[in-house]
Amino acid sequence: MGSREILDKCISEFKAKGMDKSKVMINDSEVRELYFNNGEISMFRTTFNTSLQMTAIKDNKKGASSVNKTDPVSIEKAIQDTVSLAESSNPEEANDISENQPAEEFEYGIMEADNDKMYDRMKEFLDHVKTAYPSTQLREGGVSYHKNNLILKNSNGVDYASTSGYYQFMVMFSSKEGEKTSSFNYTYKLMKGLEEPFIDAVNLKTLLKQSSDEINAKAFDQKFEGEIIITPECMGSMIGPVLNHLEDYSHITGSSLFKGKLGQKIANEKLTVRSAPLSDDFAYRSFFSSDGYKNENVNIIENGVLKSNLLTLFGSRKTKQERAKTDGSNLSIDAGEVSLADMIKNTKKGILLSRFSGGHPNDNGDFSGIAKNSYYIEDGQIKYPVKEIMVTGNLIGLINNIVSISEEVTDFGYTKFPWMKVSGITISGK
Amino acid sequence: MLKYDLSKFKKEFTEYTELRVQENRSTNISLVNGNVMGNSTSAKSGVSARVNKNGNWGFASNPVISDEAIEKVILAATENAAFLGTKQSKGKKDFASRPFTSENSFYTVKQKTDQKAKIGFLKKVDDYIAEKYSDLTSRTLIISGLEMEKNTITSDGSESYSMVPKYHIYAILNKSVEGENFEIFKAFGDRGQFEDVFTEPALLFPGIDESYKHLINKTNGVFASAGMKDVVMDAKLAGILAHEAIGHTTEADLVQGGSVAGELLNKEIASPLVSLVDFAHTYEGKICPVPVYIDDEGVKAEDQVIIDKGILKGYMHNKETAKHFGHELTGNARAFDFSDEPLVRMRNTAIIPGTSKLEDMIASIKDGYYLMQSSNGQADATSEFMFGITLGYEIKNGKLGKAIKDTTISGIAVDVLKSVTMVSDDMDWDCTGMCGKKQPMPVGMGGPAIKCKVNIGGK
Repeated sequence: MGSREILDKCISEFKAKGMDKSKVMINDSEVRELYFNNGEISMFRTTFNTSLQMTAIKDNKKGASSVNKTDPVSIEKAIQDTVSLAESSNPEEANDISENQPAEEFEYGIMEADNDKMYDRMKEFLDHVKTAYPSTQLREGGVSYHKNNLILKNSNGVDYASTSGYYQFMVMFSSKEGEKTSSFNYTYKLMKGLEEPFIDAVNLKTLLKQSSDEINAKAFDQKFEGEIIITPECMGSMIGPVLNHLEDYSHITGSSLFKGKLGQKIANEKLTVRSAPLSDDFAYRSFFSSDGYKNENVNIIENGVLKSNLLTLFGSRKTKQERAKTDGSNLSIDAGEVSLADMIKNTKKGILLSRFSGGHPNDNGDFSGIAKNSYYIEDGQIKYPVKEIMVTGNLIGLINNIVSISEEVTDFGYTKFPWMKVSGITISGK
Repeated sequence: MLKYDLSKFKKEFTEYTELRVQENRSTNISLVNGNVMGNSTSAKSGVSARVNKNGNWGFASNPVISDEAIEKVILAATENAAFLGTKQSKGKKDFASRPFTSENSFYTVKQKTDQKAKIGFLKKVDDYIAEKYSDLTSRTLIISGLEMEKNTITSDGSESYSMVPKYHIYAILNKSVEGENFEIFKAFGDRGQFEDVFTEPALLFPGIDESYKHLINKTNGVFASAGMKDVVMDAKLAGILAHEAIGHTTEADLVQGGSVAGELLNKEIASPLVSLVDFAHTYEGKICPVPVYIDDEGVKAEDQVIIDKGILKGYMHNKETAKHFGHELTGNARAFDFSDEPLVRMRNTAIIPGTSKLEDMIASIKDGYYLMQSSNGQADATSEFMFGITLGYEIKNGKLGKAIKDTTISGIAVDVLKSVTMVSDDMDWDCTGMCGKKQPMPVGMGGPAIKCKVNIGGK
């Protein structure tokens, strides 16, 4: 039985079993991975999987289950499990599936992996680092190819399908001289192809050089309120918790920092955050959401004004707010008008924050964590790499106290982030 | 899934080979303010093989479990190793082995609880909270269950079957005061299926009551004063200290990758009060939260002493790192999903109890903090660790003061462990969280209360 037939069978079975609504999604995936360990390619891995996810609703009661099998016995069991879950649940009016939309099929990216090219690029990178960065140890990482054949159908007639393929490169490293070790660092990028040597991806040359410098990171005993320059590598861990407050859970529990703020200014006017799932500027495109809606490119925050929450169909119905037209993928922050060099030059006292290792921010947005792979800046100059430095701030303060955003943007293939300078952060040493 | 006879496939092995058939099953139910928000189950199973030929690893997996599919997976893994062999040869690797045959299942013998009854259980806990604590802004209750069932056979003679489940109920209580939001998190649970871990909703009520009191204290909480402070870490935190501060740093693949522990073997890295062990499956006659009798490379799992009275004594190994360092096998190679390769992972990492009493430890601090609950944590090659603190109190002149707002603590493991001056005589085990290292993994953590110095975030 083909994937479409499986989905049709599930939907008709759910109907036959008295379910009011159902949604079924199947993903046939393939991963090919060349993995390196301590600077040497050590493993070639090929994995295939099938994910069959089903949701059924009866009298507003919902059940959901997933299996990775498509034989008749497994499918029948999954259907029965889903029906039992729905029947055992409590009614919730917010449970629903997407309404009928025109059927569409999409295709994007690389459809077949080139194993030899993957090996050649990986080896080229490992050899280069061994020569050019002798104190750096490439701990683990690799290049992988990911292909997904995804089909979503529901009992309202929704029928979306997409086939996509991309490469991913990931590297984790630290440096060592004698008994001294630097903090580990990592980066990764999603790619449409393997044309570019990995060493030229993202800011790797800078990060590898910094890793050697960080062997001699210094602690300090100061405590001051200063500025941080958040690097593109660190941006996801800082902006991610902000966006969490736009999602279902925060709104449903009423703990969102942005409750009732749609259309209002929530951040400095320099900040524009976009989600562009359909943009071909990225290595991956997400054509439709798991709710069963075709995605659109959306400005989440535009010049500091909240333009869209990130609510699913359930979240929007539960909180009686508008559903997001995006699933939140392919995030970017717009470039500013200041060069990174000027941004550093105009910093009186602060930290170049390259990685943040911290606890989850609390409900009020207060956060604290260690500044990893980071540098002390004083009077416009990067002075030295730091260790054992804690940064403390608040998410609302973070997005409102933006001093400047860089004109340079780093493309990670699934996000695009600039450098961003923020004031009002407590920086404390030992 | 239950047991699958893999012995007939041994004839297909042409190189060093590990063959595994595995199913992971999970259950998730969430209740927000009494409404069912999530109600799902999932099952993920398949077969995988890992082959080593001339030093190159080949790995392949497939979700179909049949004799034909298993033969194909063995062949694909062998071909993947051969593919690397066309590019590079590292020479034949003869790994040390400690073959073992093991069968360990933690299936309940009680009558199974269906999903409706689990929702009912959660609803009773929710009703209790809603009735008694009507001032809460929101309440969230989550049932989270994971069952890992594995059949493994290796070319060096090991055969094993295991089914290790864990079930937890998480309670998250929120309260707003004058526009400010406060949250408390409480986890209940243990190794075992739902029926063995949860019997009566009322048994959770005292924990809920205690959490509510802490939440109210947090609404009057203060920022910690940033900097190096004397702290008492509750026994509930000692496990994460053992895991993040020392555990990761002494995983042999990280040591090989340059972690500071590589230079510190047989050296003093902690106070003589500190001993730390990664237990395979049993501590003082009791089964640990995440028992591992045989690892996914087919190695009989043994306890690994990491720190003995302050001296670093050993690392945790897979077959490859044990060969690299010339050390004994430990049985720490573990894989999460059927489609994952085994990595060096902790099992049940614990600091061994001392002789002090918690109340004496608190009384000995003039100006510091009593840290009671943690959230996420992270380790580093430098041994600088951090973890989030979601519940703690000031200590002023030996007495508990105000609650503190959520914060983060950090330190260099060696410095922190050398600063330990008191270790309590109790022991708390936990398997609530999952460790993240390429793959997620259930791990056990344990320990007593510790008095030490750490860097705390705050104002």
